[in-house]
Order: sequence, then C-alpha cells, then structure tokens
Amino acid sequence: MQSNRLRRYATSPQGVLIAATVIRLSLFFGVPSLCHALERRPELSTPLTSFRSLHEGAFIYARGSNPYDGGVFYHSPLYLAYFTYIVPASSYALTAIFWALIDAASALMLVKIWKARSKDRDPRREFLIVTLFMFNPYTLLSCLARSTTNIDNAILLGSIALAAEGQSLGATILLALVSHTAVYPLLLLPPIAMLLNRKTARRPSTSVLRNALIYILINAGFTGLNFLIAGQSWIGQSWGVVVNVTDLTPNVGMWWYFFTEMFDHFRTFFLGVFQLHNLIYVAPVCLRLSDDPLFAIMVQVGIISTWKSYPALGDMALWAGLLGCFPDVVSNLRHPLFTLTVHLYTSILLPLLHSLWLLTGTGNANFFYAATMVYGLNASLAVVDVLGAGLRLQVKRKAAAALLEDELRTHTDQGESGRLDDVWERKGWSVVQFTGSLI
Amino acid sequence: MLLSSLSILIFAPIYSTVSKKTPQISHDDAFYESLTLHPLPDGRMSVLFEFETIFSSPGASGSIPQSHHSLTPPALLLPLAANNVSELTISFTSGWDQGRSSAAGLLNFESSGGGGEIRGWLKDGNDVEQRWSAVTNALGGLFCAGLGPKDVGDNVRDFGGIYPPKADFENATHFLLSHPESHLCTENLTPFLSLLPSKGLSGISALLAQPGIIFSWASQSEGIEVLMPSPSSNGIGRWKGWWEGVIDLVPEKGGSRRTSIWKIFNKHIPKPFAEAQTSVLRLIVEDDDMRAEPHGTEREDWIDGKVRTIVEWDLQDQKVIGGDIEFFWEGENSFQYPRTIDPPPITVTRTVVDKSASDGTFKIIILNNDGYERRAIYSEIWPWWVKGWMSEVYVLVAEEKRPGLLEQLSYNPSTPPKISTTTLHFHLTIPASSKLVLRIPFSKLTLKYTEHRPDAERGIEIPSGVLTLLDTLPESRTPTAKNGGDSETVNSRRTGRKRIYTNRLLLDVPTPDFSMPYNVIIMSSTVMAVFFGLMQGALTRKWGWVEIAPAGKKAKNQIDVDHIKSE
Repeated sequence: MQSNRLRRYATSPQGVLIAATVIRLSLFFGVPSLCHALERRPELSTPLTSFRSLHEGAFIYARGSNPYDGGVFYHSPLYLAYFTYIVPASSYALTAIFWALIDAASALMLVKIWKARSKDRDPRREFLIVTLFMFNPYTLLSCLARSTTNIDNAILLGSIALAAEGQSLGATILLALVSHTAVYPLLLLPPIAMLLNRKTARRPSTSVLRNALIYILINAGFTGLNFLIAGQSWIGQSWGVVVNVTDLTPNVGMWWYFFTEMFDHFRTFFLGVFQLHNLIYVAPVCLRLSDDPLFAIMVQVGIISTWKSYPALGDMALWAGLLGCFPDVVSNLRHPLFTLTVHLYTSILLPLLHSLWLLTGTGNANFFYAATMVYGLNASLAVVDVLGAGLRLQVKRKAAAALLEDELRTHTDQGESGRLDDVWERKGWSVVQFTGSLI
Repeated sequence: MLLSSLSILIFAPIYSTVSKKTPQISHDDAFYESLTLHPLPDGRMSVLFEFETIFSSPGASGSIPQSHHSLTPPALLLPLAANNVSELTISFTSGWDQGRSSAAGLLNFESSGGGGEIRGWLKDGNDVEQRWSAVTNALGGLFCAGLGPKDVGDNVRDFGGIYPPKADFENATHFLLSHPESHLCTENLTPFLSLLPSKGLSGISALLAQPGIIFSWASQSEGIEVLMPSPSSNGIGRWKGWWEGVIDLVPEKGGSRRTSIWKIFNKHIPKPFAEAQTSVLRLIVEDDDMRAEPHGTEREDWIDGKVRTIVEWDLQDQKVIGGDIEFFWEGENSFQYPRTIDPPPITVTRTVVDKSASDGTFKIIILNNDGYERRAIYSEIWPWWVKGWMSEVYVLVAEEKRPGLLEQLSYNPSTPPKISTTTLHFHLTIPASSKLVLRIPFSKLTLKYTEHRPDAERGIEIPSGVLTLLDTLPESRTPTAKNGGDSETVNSRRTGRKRIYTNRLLLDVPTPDFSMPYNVIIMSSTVMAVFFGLMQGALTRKWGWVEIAPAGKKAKNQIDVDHIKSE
C-alpha cells in the first residue's frame, strides 16, 4: 500500500521534479570538483554565459572597477547586478541552489506550455515532459556548470508559457528581460505577439501593436537600468560581442572558426550574412505556421539555438525541452533515431577532439571544428525534420477533418495524435512534399 | 654604478668645475668611463663597461647648429630634443641566473628583464603618442632593432610608479614598450660604439670593440639612459651607456681562476681617450684572499646591500698604459665549486604550471631570505591574448592562503580584439624568511588567423615580471661603519637595486590551421546553404498526401490539400 503510493508519487510530475532538483543539489554539494571542471567546458558555456566570467566580472565590479573596461566580461549588466547584490557569485551554496531551482522553474513552465497547448490532462505526459527536460544530459550538465544559458532558458520558457496562457504583460516583460541578457530571443517577438493575438478561453486577444509597444517600453526601461548599473560601456561589451563576434573562444557553434579564419576585408560582409541568416527565417516561419504560433516559436527557438553566434549545449536543451510539449510532431519525425545517435556521437566527439587540440596540444583547431560541424549539421537537419513533421501533421489534420471524421470517431481509445497516425497507417496514406511551389 | 645616476645631477656643479681643467672641451661637456669587474661565487665574473657623458643644454631655440655637441652624438639627442623627451632608457638583456650568482640581477641596476625594453618620460601634449612613436622608431634604427610599437596598443602607460622620473619634470607621461623577443647581437655593438666619443678606438671602449670576444660572454646586457637637460639641473643633461656580460674564469679542464686584463680581452691596457675626465678600472672584492697585481687604491663602499672592498686603478696613469693587471686568489691551485651559494636577499621566479594548450597558471615565487618583512610591488605586462582571472588569484605562504598579504591589486585589462596590453600591479607584503607564491590563472584567447605572427608555432614571449622593492635605502657613499657607532656591514635594504626581474616566458598560442581559410568558408557556408535550402523547401512547397500502394497494386489516388479544402 505504502510502496504503491510512493511509486505513484515518484511517477508524478511533482515527484520527478523534486527528485531531479535533489539530484542536482547532491551533485553540487557532493562532487563540487566535477561542477568546477564542467564550468570550464566550452561546450557547456561560452564566454558570454560562463560562470567563471560572471564571477570574475562580479569580483571586479565589487572592487569598484568597471568590468566592461577590458575584454573580460560580456554578461548583461542585469546579471552583474543580480550576482553582486542578490545572489553573490562568490557564494557556491547560494548559486548552486539558485541554478537547481532555475531548472525546476523551467520544467514547470514547460508543463504550463503543455497544458495551454493540449486538452490532454494525462499526468503521465507531464511526467514525461518534466523527466525529458530535467534528465536531459545537456540540461543537467549545463546546470552543474552554472551556465547562465539555463537562466536565459527559464526566463524565455516563462515568457512563452505566459504568452500561451494569454498573459500579455508578463510574457512581454520576460521576453524583454531575456532579449537583454541573450539578445537573440528578440527574434521571438513576432511569434509571441501572434500567440498573444489569439483568443483564449480565459482572455481576449491583445493586439500585436500594443504588445510590441509594451515590449519596446519595457526594453527601454531595462536599458535605462543597465546604464544605471554600468554606464554605457556595457553595450559594446555585451550586445556588441554578440553582434560582432569579437571573442573567438571555441564553442559548439558554426561561427568561431569561420571568423577565426576569415580574411579581414570580408569579415563585415560575412558577419552581415550570418546575422541575417538568423533573421531571415522569422517572417516565413511566422507566415507559414500562422495557425500554430507556439509551433512557430518552437521552430524559431531551434533555428536560434543552432545558428546563434555563441551557442552552447544548454540552448539545445531548451529546444529539446520544448519538443517534449509536441508529442504529435515527434511522432511524425522522419529520422529521430538518426538525430539522437548523432547527438550521442557528438557528445563523445566534442570533448575528445577539444582535449586533443586545447588540452594536450597534439591536434589542431580542425579537430574541434570537425566536431562542431557534425553537431551543427545534425542540429540543422533536426530543425528541418521538426518543421517537416509539423507540416505533415498539418496536412494530416486537414485531410482527416475533411475525409476521415467517421473513422476517427470509431477509435476513441487512443489519444488524438495516436488515433490520427493509426488511421493513416491503415489507409496506407503518406504525406509528401510536392515539387510545385505553394502558390 | 658608483657614479650612480642621481649623484651625477647632484654633483653636476662639481663636474663642471672639474671640466675647466681641460679647456679644449667646449661648454660643460665631460666624459667619464669605467670598467667594473665583479667575481661571482660560482667561478665566473661580471664585467661592466660604463660610459657617461655630461652635456649642456642645446639651447632654448634647439636649432641644429647649436645641437652639434662635441662629445654627444646628435643622432641620439636630436630625436629626443625634437620630440620633447625628458628621460629615456633603452636596454637589451639576455637573462640572469639568480641562483648561481648570489645577486638578484645584473651589476647595472638599470638593465631591464629579458629582451629589449624602451621606456621614458615625455612632456605632455596632444601628440604625445605620435612623439613617442617617432622616438622609438628613430632610436630603433640607431640600435638596429625594431623598438617601435607594432600597434599603439603595445605601449604601456601605467609603469610611471615603477620607473619614477630622475629629474623633476612636471606634466610628463611615462611610456614603456617591451620587446621580450629582442636579442643582443653584433648589430647592436657597432651603433653602441659609434655613439661613444671614443668610438671604440681608445680608452676603455677599445676593449669593448671586439665582437668576437664580447659575444662569447653570458648574461649580456647593453643599454643607454639619457636625462635631457631640465630646469632643475641648470641646463645640464647626461647620457650613460653600459655593456655588461659574464665570463668564465675557470678553464674548461679545471684549475685556478687566475685572470688578467690580457686574458679577458686579449689586449693590454689601451692608450687613454684624451677627452675622458676619468677612466677607471674597478674591482669589487668578495673574498679576503683575492689579490691584484699591480696594487690599486682600496676603499670600502655599500654595493647592493653589503659593504664591499673596491680596488681602483686610474687607467690614464702612464704606469699602467700598455701593461696588464692580474687578478688571482692566493693559494688557489684549483677552483672548488662551492657546495652552497648564498642566495640573494630576495629572488623572484616565474613559471607556468597547470599547463594546457589553452589555459595555465602563472606561479610566481618570491623568496625572502632576510629576517625581516619586505614591501614590494609585483608587476606584469601581458599581451591582449592572455586573459587573467583576477577572482582566482591566490597568495600562498607555506601552502596556506594569505589574502591579507595582497594589499592592493591594480588591474588594467586589455581590450581585445584590439591589440593592447594587460598590466597588473600587486602590492605585496613579503613576510620574513618565507617563500611567497602568487598564483594567477589565465586563459589564452583564440586569435584571428590574420593576428598570428609568422612564427606562430614557436610561441610568443611574455615580458619579464618586475618586483619593485618599496623599502630600499640609498647606498651611502661612506659606509656607516666608518662614521662610527653602527658597525653594520650587511643590510639588504641598503641597495640601489630597486627592481628585480623574473625571466621571460615563452607561451604558445592555440593556432588555427593556416591552410584552411577557404576550406572553412566553403564548408561552413555549405552547412548554412543546406539548412537554408531545406527550410526554404519546407516552407514554400505544397504539401499533400499519396496513398502508397500495397505490393502489386497501383496507387489509387493523390489528393492535394487545397483541393480538398475547396471541396
């Protein structure tokens, strides 16, 4: 009896959330040496998100100097103030607890997103979402490395969750906050505004213009706060580095080696190309997926986490976490096994080739570059696969609504997506992409 | 050294009266030369040439005819006068062994750490950077070495406290430019000699003008120091050149250290330089049983923290010209290498530990062998690609963290990706008889392909660290023992050596593959194009469905979504 209740509690979302948090805390306090070693992994934190830099910046700030004066500190002044006055970066215990809680908050936000998206109230699904996010090695390791990516992720998930629930003010504030600390979430403003524009059961729609205006106002407010904290030198040292990619410390992204090897007179041109490449997908994705803004957000998050200037594995964790809220999309993926195994492969390859080049000094930069290429290509293909799966699902739904209503009604025992896939399989139908264009 | 820098200015009026003895010299110009020999405990000997010229102000107008001095080289002084330089020091040094020599540095206290260094004070003005650049480039040509900055960011401007001005110029800016990669070579000797009025033909400089002998010496250092005329010095300026090296006294197969001027230089005492006011051979005697033949005049003086016996010979004396002076240790048939060598009162060494290709930790060990606490500033200059972690700096004494010993840290970080320097000044208290370890973790930044120097695989030198002692006392001309009362003969604080240098360090930089630019551009762009193409395809193409025929059957139908919609 007792064990039964225990088992039920352990397989509930709350149970696994608590278990994951306890595991994080016990790793933080049980093996601090592991956490300190992870802190320095370039795969988990870039100079813009690393805890070591944050600690250094807070240290310099506390001594009365401006950390933005030299090329030491690239974090947002908001983090600088937070980790100086509220959770001091020098305190291992406080920061460890903070990062463990941040992850738990992210998981809760994911559950919120799921609840807002689906009518399904199965606790097993919530359990799965929380488990997949909290025990994703990318999330866990990134948390133990105390990378600020996890904080950015939590804020962004909060913003998406609030937007999905239709709370426009909260969603806009959080989005403004995270675009200050991580810059790229700025590109999520259009899909989030679209999401807020939709009517929900609880709230009426809010206009895109109004939300954009609120966003700009709040953003200006945060900018003012930043000026109060650090004068004006922070612009070039935090946003400037994200835009100009002046720090070439290796990371898992596609930028660092490209701009290491780039000839100076082409640098500006290719900077423009790479930045525009992130920007260019916003409008098409929002237009094509206008019927499901949440899915548009997810695709956009995938693009950003692969193609931003300083990505880390924690960014992929955010995307993987969001993917957990889309089981119907996942069931339509073409090559999920391939994607997973290549992720496994790169997670071995990245540290191995990194140590060959930068620790033992026996390899050269091409080794690590090769690993980041595999990682980048795999992540790119995964984003395309997810987008394709989403579009396939769209076709299936439309076709089913028109032709298969009766058949679907007879299969009441399965969930919605399972039912749909089941019927399609028995019919021998398959969604394809035509060679002709949309118009 | 004995004619130590400050005393020249203080005694300038005396020199000017002395100079009246020789009416052929115009203005108040005067030239002094000396050769100092200092046997080291490990069977070697330091040899130091010093040439010093006192010159009068070139005049307020500074026009070229007035600047033709009789003893001073216009090539040296004109660029300084034209660019409003008040003080300038250039030195090239090839290292020093603190452990074997019982001294913390070279005999000449103004020599820098390893490699080349140019530093000086410039009078303030808007164009001070340009003037500094002009001076360094002009004098770089004079010394056959690249002394100019590769980039404006190479200039260090916060070492004025470490190298304070010797004359009281107001409103001046200090510049320092370190070239740890520079070496002393034969190309440096010829220009050095050409700056001297005696040109290596007569006087002591004739002994120096032998590259075959000079460049076989170890731990060499050459340099010049110029103090331009200032209001406080009554229009009197001074420039001093030095050349130092270490020779082995013990023959290869063993034997006594017996040596002589002839043995060292393969020359007898040369004929004097007529314009020289004084020409002195000086021997610093460390052991009681050291003798010299013929005898010189003996006196005692404070040198580098000890009262030492100094024997001097006037090389203008007709009795020694063309002859030889012998030095030997009485009763020594075969030199026995000492079991222990007294360490210098304070030493500083720097190594890199925890070394990986991308990270490391500077470990600076400061050994205080004295029974009292010392106060000092330890300073470092790093290129922009060395990124220190100040929050992880530790001061350890006997393996124990002692944050209290680091009183103040002044940190001026570089601003990558611009070429710039990081400067650090640690204000330290070094406890009595202790080993203080300063650990500074650092990371190496990844440089752009175009920023690597051609010899990338060799690595890049980091300039020497400087330990500046804050509690030194002046070397008084007369030992306190002779003033009565205090019989102190050893006091490591009573030294003119205010700065102790570490060795240079060779750090290698994680390099990209220099043959890869096109490959990387092509491959990364391909991944981007693949992604863009697939996304574009997915977003713009029509989606529909087909019925996949079971085996043997043809597909029944193929329906377009839009078609269904319209139905």
